[in-house]
Amino acid sequence: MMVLQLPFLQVALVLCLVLVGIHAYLGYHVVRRGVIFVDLALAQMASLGASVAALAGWTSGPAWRPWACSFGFALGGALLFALFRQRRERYPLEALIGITYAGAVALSMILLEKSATGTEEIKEMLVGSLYTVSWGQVLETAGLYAAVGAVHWFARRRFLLISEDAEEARRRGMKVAPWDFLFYATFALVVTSSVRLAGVLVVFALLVLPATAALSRPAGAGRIPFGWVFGAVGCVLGLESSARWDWPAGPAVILSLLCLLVLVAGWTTLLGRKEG
Amino acid sequence: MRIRQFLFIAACAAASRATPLQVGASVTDLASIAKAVGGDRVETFAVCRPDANPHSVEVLPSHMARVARARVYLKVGLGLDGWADAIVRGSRNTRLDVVDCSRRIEVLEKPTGKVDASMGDVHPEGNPHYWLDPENGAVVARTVAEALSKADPDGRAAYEEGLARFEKELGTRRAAWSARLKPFQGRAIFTYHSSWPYFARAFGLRIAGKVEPVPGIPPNARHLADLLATAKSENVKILLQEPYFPREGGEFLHRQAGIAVLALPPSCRGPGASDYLDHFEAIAAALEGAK
Repeated sequence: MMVLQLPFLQVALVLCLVLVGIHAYLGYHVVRRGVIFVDLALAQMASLGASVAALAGWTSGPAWRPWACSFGFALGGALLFALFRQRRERYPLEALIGITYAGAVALSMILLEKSATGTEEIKEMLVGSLYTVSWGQVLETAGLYAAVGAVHWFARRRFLLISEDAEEARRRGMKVAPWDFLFYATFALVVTSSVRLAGVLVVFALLVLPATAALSRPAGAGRIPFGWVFGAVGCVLGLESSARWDWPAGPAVILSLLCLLVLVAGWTTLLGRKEG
Repeated sequence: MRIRQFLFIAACAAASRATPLQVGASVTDLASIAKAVGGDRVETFAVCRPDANPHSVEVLPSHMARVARARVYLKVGLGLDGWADAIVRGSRNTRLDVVDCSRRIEVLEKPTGKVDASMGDVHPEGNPHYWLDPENGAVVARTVAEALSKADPDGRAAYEEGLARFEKELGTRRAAWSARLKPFQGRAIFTYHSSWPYFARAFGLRIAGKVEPVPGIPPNARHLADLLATAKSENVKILLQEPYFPREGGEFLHRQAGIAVLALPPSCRGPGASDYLDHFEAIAAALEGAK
């Protein structure tokens, strides 16, 4: 396997595995909630925050200021999605996600036209590249995800219950909105950093594909671990094919996840027929 | 291409002294100059394809593998090819000499004072498209010759000779290009991006406007209207535009003011196909065709 031999592929592989760890898990939640595009909306909110920081001339100052600004905007998006749940009977959440996305894109385009310093950097927020990541960035990201993972470990029952059946959670007397906010806030923290490293497309694929594959398993039969294994195998095969045939890393990983999903779908259909 | 093959070749390169020195470059122009100076002693390759945008390059495994076995890497510098740093880092090549070819260039459009929010996506170190002035080609050739001599001291005489030959050919051909482009001296042209100020200065053209209002931002309606007014008052008939930029702005100017849009790549095809010097020939021919 070439993936294991060459240093830049090793970094990309470890990064992919770190990303799979958190995204296959969070992806399961967003797929169950039917809010898959929430990552695009939050990433775009973060990018809007970065545009505001550029307009304020913060790009040349201390690094935490543009970061805080962009995370602040993503948090704003998280708050919006959490508060909106009450009105969900009338308007689907997907509509709000789409509106947030379009609004954030439009606003940042106008802001960027007024203040174009650092536009390259803002564009880069949405198009990372797996092969140009350093070990330092991988470690930093792994630390951040471990912290987010810990929060989710302590609240795992509540989060799962809300994702699987929010009505039931309410019946049991849970206040859903604060938990939703915590969920979207941690989600925003994860995607704003992962999109910067791997790009919108790869992050989106890592959220949706392993989670969808996991749904082929019956409920309670280790769906999330299945997503992890699925994602890990997809990343290894994707990077291997990128190395072998000189494909760009992101698209290769996505294609390999897609092929695996087709295999899993075929397999479960076959099994279903046999059992039925 | 197979990476294992690359590694194999790299191992062979270490074993045999007859194998040419591997020289990587961000763009074909630098590779072409290195080939002209180094001749048979060097083997060159460029990361960015000549018709692709050198501001953003998708990193492929083969880039890393090729840089991993290179001895010298030629960067454009001035903030154009930041991606090259990532490739160099990723290649984990500890014996690579990374040479910034902008080192001795007299840089144009270097912002004075603080870079301000209204200036657009400017490169804070100045305009990086310097290779489009043939004089700068000679400056780069000297930098390259020194870098090659340092990496391969046995070849010093050959590199000095290659440099002298390149400078001589450049001098002769430059005189011919200047004669061909004489009718354009003082003429006002438009460019899409700010990639042609070095070329314009070298051949006496005047850039009367850019389709991008600020670098990296597509034109809005008011800016296009301003360009139309300029085209009329300054008799602009030509727009130089790289093939990878959006065409709408140029098509609008063509419809409204009959401006000829010349899609010219900013870089040569590369050594062997059409080299650094041939590229000026091609630009001159395109301009003559639009006259």
